Amino acid sequence: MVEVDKTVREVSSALHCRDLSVVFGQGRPAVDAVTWSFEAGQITSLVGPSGCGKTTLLRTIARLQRATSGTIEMVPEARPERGEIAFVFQQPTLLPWLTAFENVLLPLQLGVDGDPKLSHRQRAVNELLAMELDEDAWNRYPHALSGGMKMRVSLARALVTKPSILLLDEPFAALDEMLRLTLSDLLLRRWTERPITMVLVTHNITEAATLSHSVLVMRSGRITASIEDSLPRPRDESVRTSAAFGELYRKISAALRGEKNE
Amino acid sequence: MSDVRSNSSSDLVDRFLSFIPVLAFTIAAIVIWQMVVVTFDLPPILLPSPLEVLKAGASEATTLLEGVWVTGLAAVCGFLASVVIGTIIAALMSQSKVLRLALFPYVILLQTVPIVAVAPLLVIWSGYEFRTVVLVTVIISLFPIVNSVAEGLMAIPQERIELFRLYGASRSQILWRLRVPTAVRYLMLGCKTSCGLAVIGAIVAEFFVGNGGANYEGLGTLMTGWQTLGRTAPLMAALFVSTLLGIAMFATVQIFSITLLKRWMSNE
Repeated sequence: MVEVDKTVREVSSALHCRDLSVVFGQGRPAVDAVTWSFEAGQITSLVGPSGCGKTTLLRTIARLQRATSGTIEMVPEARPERGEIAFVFQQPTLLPWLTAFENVLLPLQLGVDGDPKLSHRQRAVNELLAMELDEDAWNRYPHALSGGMKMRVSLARALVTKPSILLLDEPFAALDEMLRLTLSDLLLRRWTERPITMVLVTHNITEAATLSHSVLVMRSGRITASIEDSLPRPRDESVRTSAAFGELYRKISAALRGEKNE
Repeated sequence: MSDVRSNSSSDLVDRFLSFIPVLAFTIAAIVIWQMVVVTFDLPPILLPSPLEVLKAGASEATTLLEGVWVTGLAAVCGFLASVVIGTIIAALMSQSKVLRLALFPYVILLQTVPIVAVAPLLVIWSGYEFRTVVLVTVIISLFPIVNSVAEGLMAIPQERIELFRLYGASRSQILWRLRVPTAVRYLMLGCKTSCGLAVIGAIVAEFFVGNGGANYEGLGTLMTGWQTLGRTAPLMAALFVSTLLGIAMFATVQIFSITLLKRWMSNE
């Protein structure tokens, strides 16, 4: 266990939000004085109805959105422009004039430094292999890739800079259930190898229950419930079909409906 | 590179079959034309028969070829200048809101100004010269380039810009690695409209430049000359040749565009 903690300290950052608010125009806050510590090396899901502020919170952590007030602290310090915070968009957001391989290289070519021991190409190769993208697809342009392949490339691009924090904005929303499970498993395996901090925005309760250590429920810009998840890992088929998993699912959906949890 | 393609031989057959209707229509039109001339016994000055037009074209072949060369050169020069100037204007407009507000009315003006009215003015200023023809060509073919490139530089999906911003990309990295590749595709669309206009611009300009009696022999000059002499057959031959010139320019741009964009053409 000590070994794991040491690895966690080396590869991931804790994320502390204090009184974080984001206000658009004159309206009510999209994120309303959120104070929460995302522990290093943990996977946290953000669930909640549309417009509850979960995506805004995620974007604020990635510095794609400016906070109106409050602070975000990463320990140790992590910056997106150094590739230490990666963001996976809902759409794969690949550049159509670059091949799958070149798309993965992009963050490194934009001058994001990282592991200097490996060449850029070697790191892109490693990530694509880890994402199990067929090698004959590496040199294809995005229009010739399936939805699942595109998302594998998108994940490889996010992980190529060896981030300590990975933010995912409903990454699998557009995929079918089988692909969703496959990619969730792949992401979990990557996390096992390198336990970085992950924050996942999702609408899918199964996905939240499968992936995360804790599930946060958001409503009107606030975190209204947090559900710890102590199911065994890895989350294989037997865990997903267990009674405990069903119970977890029930707890999350009850919290989403606004019912009290113990 | 692996590629997913449908069976190419059946593609070829399909493409050949798709030509049959237009071929049949063309032949029918020529036959009707010949029949009209013969039936109504029309004088050649009013409507020469297809055969007479062909004969006139053959006997004036050298003059016509020279005309194609002169007009084609002017159109190509004007078109290329439009591509360069238009891209620069669009780039400036995309980078600064003030420039966008200052230049946009003039870009609209370029599109709405009647070229036939401007051409004589330009002849006065610039003379009965080749450069005047190029100038008119630039004016008429500039708008589609500016418009499409500006659109391409501005219309970039928000998430792509955010991806670059996330990694702390500089303004020039965003320009060269994101805006320019996006705009290339739009530029190609603009080029397709622009190259056809360039031929029109060159011929219109030549109507006026030829009037000066200058030693200028483009297709437009030949047309006005033959019109004055009442030589309808070579006039019509020149008309067909200038159409072919326009088609040739369009086809060249199209082939260039497909070659350039083939790698990432998609329906998105």
